[in-house]
Amino acid sequence: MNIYLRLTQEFNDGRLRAILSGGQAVVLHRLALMSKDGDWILLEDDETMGHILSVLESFGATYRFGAPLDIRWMSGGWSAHFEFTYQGIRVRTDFITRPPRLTADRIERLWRDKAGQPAPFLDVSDLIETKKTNREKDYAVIGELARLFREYPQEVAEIKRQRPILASIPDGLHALEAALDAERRAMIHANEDRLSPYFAASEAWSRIWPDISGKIEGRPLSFAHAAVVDAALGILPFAVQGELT
Amino acid sequence: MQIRDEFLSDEDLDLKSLSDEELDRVWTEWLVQAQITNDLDRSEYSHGVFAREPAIDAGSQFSPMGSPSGKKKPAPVTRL
Repeated sequence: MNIYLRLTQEFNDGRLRAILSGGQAVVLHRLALMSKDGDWILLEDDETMGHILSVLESFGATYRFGAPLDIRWMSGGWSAHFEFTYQGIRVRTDFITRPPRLTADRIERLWRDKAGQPAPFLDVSDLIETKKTNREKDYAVIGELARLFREYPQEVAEIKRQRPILASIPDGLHALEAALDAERRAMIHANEDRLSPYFAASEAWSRIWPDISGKIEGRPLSFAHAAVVDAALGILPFAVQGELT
Repeated sequence: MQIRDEFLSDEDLDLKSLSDEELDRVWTEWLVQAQITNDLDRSEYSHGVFAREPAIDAGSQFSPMGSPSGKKKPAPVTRL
């Protein structure tokens, strides 16, 4: 079984805790093979954090630079990152509990809709929202995901109501292309503005990370996690100024 | 109006025709082949709120190329 599918199942052993997102969800939509890393949206509670850490430890995972996998930081929109090697594959696991651009209601619905699924992954519309990043390549994927909406005419009608630029369709292809380019650049800049406070807030943390990395190198993840949490307290703020979505 | 730009080739889109077992197999094979770019993206992040890993001085005792002196690495975990 593919490692990212296996991890999703193990993360959800006994209870829904993790929904696969990012490039590996794109695979499960049978659209493309395009990403080496795994991304999950996690349920924001202590039991989930503990279970995920336990699964990761069983694979010999180590912390990468990032926030501790702890709801005090995750609730502030931070992300936690880990890595291990499995059968020659460098496996990277990235976690958030507050996916950008998804409202609280939408996230709540997500957990409700995915209940009972052993390997849940984001639906097309939610996946599109999460891919409105500042990376150009993600917008190409959005385009391909949007093609899947041919199967959902009601959703297409709703999108037209929400997308004023689609009103430029009668003005011709060039006008529509220009409007879409401008919209994409606006979304890229919006994501850059969203991330900017996190970069600033993690500056002190990044300066001490090499020392922390050395102290946890080669140690079990349970030890490393305690050390990372202890080091992050007072250095990496739980929350930053600005919107989380 | 027809959308002209396409990101993916027809071969890539052929994932739809695969069985679950076939998809699993090609997915893993793709990951294995993609390992060739690990050095290039070693410090990068695909998602989250971090952009790059902080540089670690190769001359420091905390170089990622070796363990801190006196500290033994545990045996690697093997999951089958």
